[in-house]
Amino acid sequence: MKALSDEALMQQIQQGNQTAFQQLVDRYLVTLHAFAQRFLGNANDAEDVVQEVFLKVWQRAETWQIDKAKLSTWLYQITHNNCIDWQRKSKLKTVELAAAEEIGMLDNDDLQQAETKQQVEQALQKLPERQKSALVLCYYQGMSYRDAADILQIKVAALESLLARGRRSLKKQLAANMAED
Amino acid sequence: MDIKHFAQLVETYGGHPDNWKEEKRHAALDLLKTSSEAQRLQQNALKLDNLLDQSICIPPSPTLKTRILEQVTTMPKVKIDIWQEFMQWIFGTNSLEHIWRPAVAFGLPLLLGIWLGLHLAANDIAPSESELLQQEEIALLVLSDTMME
Repeated sequence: MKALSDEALMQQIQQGNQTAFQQLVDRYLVTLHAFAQRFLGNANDAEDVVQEVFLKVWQRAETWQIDKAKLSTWLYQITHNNCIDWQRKSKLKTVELAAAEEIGMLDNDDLQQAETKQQVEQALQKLPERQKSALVLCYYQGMSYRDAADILQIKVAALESLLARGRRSLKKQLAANMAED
Repeated sequence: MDIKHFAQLVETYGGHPDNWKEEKRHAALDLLKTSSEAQRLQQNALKLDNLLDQSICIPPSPTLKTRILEQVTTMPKVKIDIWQEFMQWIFGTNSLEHIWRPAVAFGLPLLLGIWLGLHLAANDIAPSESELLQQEEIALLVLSDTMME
């Protein structure tokens, strides 16, 4: 099957075409997984969430309407909602770091880098839900501000405010963590 | 662009000019060339950006795609009938909609009922002029009947 546009792909999926669905998975699996991982702070949980998301997309493909939202916006909205539900259910706040044996093999510089990475991820997890969503979508996923605002169902001005507050909180949190060390 | 707006810009979008809003980028870059304060603010924002960049994502396991596709082949597509569509419309598809949609769905008829009730009651309390005349005539007839007795 040649590369179809998102809209054409989705129309095929609505008719039950599994090859089209496979193409959709190829197109969005990595980005949705990255988003879920940053949001949840855990790669394994992200895999479970993304699996649920794609199943939902397959089962409920008919509810997507071309005139209501871009496919990518719709997919991110489902992933975002599933992440929130997942986090509320599990109350997991743990942050994944490299496996212990890997840390054991790191030299001083790498160890410091791993610690910084951990601190950043912990600080990100401590942000309020909306600020974290805004930062992950805009900074890490590289979304346009318009699209990110659509996903969060807010105005661009509100998104900007979330971003500014998020960055301020992160800065404060990281400065405090580094002062402790 | 003045320094206050520049500070807001880097506070919101960070220190990388690529992340700045397109319509503001040009003016911000111009200010950067001349203002040492703007340069200091950008450096501060870049420090946070560099820390954020340290967080690297682990790619999904190669089995994830297989798991998804296997599950899909065994899972029939949900054909949404009118009743399901109605329930989905009322209760929504996520936790946020689960709260406000039923609240709106049940709250609106309630409010409409209250409004209608008040409106009709107000009409009942204030009878029209002809009704008043009619009531008055009946009262007079009853009165004259009792007097004749």
